[in-house]
Amino acid sequence: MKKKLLAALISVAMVATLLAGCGGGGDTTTTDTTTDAAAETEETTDAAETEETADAEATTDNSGLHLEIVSKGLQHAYWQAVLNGVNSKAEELGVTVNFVGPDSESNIQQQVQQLETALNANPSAIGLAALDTNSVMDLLQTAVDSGIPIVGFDSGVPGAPEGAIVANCSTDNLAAGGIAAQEVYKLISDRIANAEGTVRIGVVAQDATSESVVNRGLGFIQEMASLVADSGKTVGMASVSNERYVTDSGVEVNDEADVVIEVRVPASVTSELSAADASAILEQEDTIAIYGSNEHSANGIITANENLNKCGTGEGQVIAAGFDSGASIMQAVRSGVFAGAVTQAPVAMGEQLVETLVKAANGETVEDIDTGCQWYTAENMDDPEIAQNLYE
Amino acid sequence: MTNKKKGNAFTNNPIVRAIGVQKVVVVLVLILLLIFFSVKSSSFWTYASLLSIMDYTYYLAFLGIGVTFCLITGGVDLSIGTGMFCYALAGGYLITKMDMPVIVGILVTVGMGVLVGLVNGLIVSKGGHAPFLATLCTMMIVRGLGAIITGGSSITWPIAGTPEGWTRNLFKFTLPSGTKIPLGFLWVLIAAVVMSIILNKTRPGRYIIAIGSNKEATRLSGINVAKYQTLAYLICGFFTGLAALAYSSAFQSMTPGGGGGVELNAIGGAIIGGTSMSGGSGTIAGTILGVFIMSILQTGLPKVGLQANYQQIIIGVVLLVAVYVDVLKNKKLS
Amino acid sequence: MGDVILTMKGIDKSFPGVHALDHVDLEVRKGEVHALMGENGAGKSTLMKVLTGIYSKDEGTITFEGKEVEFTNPREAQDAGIVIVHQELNMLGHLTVAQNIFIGREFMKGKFIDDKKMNEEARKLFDQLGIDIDPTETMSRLTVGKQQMCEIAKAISHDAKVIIFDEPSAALTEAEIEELFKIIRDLRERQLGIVYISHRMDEIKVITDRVTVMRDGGYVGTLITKDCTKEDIINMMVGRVIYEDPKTESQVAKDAPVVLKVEHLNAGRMVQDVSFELRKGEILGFSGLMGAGRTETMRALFGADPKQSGDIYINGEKVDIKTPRDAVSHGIGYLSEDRKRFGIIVDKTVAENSTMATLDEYMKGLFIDKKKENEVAQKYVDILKTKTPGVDQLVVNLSGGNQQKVVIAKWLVRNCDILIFDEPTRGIDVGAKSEIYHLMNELVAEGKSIIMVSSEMTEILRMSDRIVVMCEGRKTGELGIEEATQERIMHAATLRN
Repeated sequence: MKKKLLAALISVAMVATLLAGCGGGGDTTTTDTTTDAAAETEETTDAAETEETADAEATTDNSGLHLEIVSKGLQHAYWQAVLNGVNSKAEELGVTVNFVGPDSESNIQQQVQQLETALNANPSAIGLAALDTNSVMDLLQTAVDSGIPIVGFDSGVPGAPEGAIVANCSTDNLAAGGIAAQEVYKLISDRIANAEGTVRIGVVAQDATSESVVNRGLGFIQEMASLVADSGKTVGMASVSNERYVTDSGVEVNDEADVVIEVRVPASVTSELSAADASAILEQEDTIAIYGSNEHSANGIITANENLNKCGTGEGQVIAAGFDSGASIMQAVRSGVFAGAVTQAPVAMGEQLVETLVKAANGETVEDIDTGCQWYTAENMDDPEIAQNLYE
Repeated sequence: MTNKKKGNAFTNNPIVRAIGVQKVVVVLVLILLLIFFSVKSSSFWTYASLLSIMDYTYYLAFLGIGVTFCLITGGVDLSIGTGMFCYALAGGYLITKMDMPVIVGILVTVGMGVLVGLVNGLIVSKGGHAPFLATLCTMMIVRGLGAIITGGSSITWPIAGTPEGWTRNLFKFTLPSGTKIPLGFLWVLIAAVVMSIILNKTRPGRYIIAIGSNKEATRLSGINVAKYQTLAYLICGFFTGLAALAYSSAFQSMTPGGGGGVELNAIGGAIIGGTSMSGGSGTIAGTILGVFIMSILQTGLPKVGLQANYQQIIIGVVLLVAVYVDVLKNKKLS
Repeated sequence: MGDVILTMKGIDKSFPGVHALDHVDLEVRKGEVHALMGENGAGKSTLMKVLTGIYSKDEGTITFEGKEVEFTNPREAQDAGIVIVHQELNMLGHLTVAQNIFIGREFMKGKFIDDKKMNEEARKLFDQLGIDIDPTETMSRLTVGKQQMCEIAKAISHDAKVIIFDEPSAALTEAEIEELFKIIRDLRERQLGIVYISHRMDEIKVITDRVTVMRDGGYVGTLITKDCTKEDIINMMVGRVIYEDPKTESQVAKDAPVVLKVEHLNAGRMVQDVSFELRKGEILGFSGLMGAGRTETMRALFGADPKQSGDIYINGEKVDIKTPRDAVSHGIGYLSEDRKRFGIIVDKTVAENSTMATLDEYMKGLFIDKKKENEVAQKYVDILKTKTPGVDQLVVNLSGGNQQKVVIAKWLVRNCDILIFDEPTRGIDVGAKSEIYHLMNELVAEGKSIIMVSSEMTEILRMSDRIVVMCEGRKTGELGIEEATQERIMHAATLRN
């Protein structure tokens, strides 16, 4: 018995050591990124100052407004970019903001506590990207009762009761997928027009429960299908495609169409499974384009291409496109393996969130806002306007 | 019963006996699979296809070699899938987010594997917990740990072509001409030979097998059972660390919380290769062959136009057959 | 004896490489106890497995109650009225006695199990047999003997016409065996046919009417028990004459030093304040009934189970033994009563088992020196006359006696000076038994010392120089071989406080 206890203690101690070691590491980075953020904010402040003097009178009535924003995380570069947008807009409008988020996207309990603290601070308005709507349901009611407006952002607060959320600031994922389709279509329209037989466009997607991820795939498929149809060619889905995407996109299955769209969905969200599906698409002779609808899927295409070496913009190569940034995708875009990729605009999201929150706090009517997205390529990815939304 | 008769003629063949019945069967299945996929998919029999099969083989082989040691003691390590992700995330995090030297990242990755292996071993041997339960718990712990370390974001190890991306060349070496050499196979081969020798020719190997065959008799022979049991898990952890390196150099990114289910592919590979789930027998060569079957299924099935969920079913059925063979073998022994 | 109820004729069965049964005959009459004898591996169990449908026969006929039958599984045989009471009891420890007896055919009240009815039926059954067991008792709380009674009751509840007892007395005390015999006689009265498999010659003479002897898968012959001698049966079984006298005086020198001294050993309920000494060159017998705490004493001494208190001295020096490893390093070797669980590793080779406790000495650097390992294993195969095709043979393929020799080899290779033989001949056939006895005598002649735990009175009297008797966890007697008799030992073995 004693021995068992000892062993249990040892194991606990070891895990604790592990945790401590890693926790320490985490802290240090946060400091790093904040320093970066601070430096950036400084720059933006310079620009903002001039504006501020000009708009000084218009913004005075906002002073004294305090906003609480509860995000899904803090450490990830994406949320840092949102924070940048929030900070610069807050400065501009002269409001104070407290921006918090849980340690990881699985830490629902922590987010609930953060939201509770935010409510207790009695802010003018709250921005919320909920990890789990059900866990915050009570708090949403409290907010409604205390007359504190809540604005959803990023993935918002899906399934929230009517009236609890006054507006959403988020990427329109269908539209974002559509942009990818438009850009890819530009590069393949000649090939489609001149093709003698069937040509194939592959989509590596996810069967995620998150609707945003699914919509990025659907948006691409629907837009691509309508572009092809407009050009007078027939379009259909490959019969091996995932049923959900076939049904939701409304495109008929037809393996004989001029343009066949093949949607592959791995059984779970891991790069190695996405890579196998990407390989299967790339290896088909008639494939002219491929699109990965999120970071994983795009990474899967990159892994597959490392072995197959088929993607590129040259003669006879497969046009590839991705979604999101990240070291591998950015490298792929820069080196020409990917023709380009779509990125969300977290900085703009942060800015528009603050703007909407201020409006809501002032009692104005607000409505949902598409915070937009950008198509980036090797040529434009270093433009500051785009670079601020990219992260490794 | 007629099958049994046929099997007898087959099993009595001197060549078959020398190599081991199960291994011969596995090789035959392997060949059948290769033929099947070659016929069904024109692109299967290409160099690129080989490269991608190799991508899957490296990490699965390392996991398989490691977990074979646990299986032979009569235990199992379920933490290897999520563990592999966790260690790769931690190492990659240090390199890419904290600008540590790559070698530090590698050491941390492998070191964490060894540490968790040690913890697993101690919980099982000293704590007396059932391996299934103990490692189920560590499986969850390391899954959470990976997410905490990286703050929930996915991690990409330095990519090929960058100065820090040399780890990628360790497994897939790119010649100046652009041709890629599956160098990782060499490491897998070396690891397999070394571990095979350790298992069959050294004292720890002998004792690990003995523990799996009859733990109590081994203990009563005056052998420190706890020590060698722990060692098996430690070896498994070490190889999980190596698998993490192989995975992070073959694939683009790891997501926190991922890796669940990978352990079953590795354990499945080992069992297909003839390692007994009840302990006491198993070979590294068999495991490597079994892992090959798993990685060929994983790369081949999507090529023949089968959807993900059907692929899972087929892999599940293959495992079921392997497990059934294991049960039959045990029946014969008793 | 009544009419023939069961006839097996010309039964032939082959496994890959083994001709397990070579045209064997067996005839059982109503109201007879028919002994089936033969060394281990003679084919007794195989024959019974063919009878009850576990194996299919290649040739031959089985006639039961005048009809030719062929059972494809034990369930069919059971339904027809042929039931085996197994050597290893197939009881579910957590269930009650009644639940065990009626498992698979529970009495139901609607959708629910009717435990009350089952208890009543079980009680009726026990009354019929004159057994005193509470049907509501949990099975694992019963002694082995009582559990066996339950097995018998279960067999009878199946309306059995032929009952096969497979070494029923192996795990029973003398008293329990008496009770068993009472029941068997009662069954005979009721005109059941009984097949009785046993190695114990004494029992055969006492309880059986006829004896069928098998050897090497073949049928040797059938005798009327009362018309033949023990030696006749043994000769038929082994084909050679074996006879050994009980020991009459201690072979240990008067001034032989004490090699092992145990003082006030306490380990749980089963080992209470046990003290004894072992001299160089001595065979110290440990006698007692089942559950007397002998094995527990040995396991505590060996460090296999934890002990609460007690001192152990080896060659006069106090030693600390916490694990088997400590014991082995002090030169103690332990041959467990349960070979398969604690002694050997069945799916490993003779050589691997032989060097299990001594591997350090068979290394060449980091690697095991297979050649040296094989040499030493072969040496002990020769010395012990272990019957094996080679040292590469898996131990599972050896007979019980030869498996035991492999365990002995393991400790001899280790050069242990103190050997604990716990039931060394349990489940071993007559020929091998006598070889093990010779071996033990040779070992003590070489200066080794042996503690022998045995439940067989004849074995204790034949081998021991001195005898320690235990009862319910306490030492209740110590006798020199000169003064020891069965009666005296039994007296001490039943000395309860």
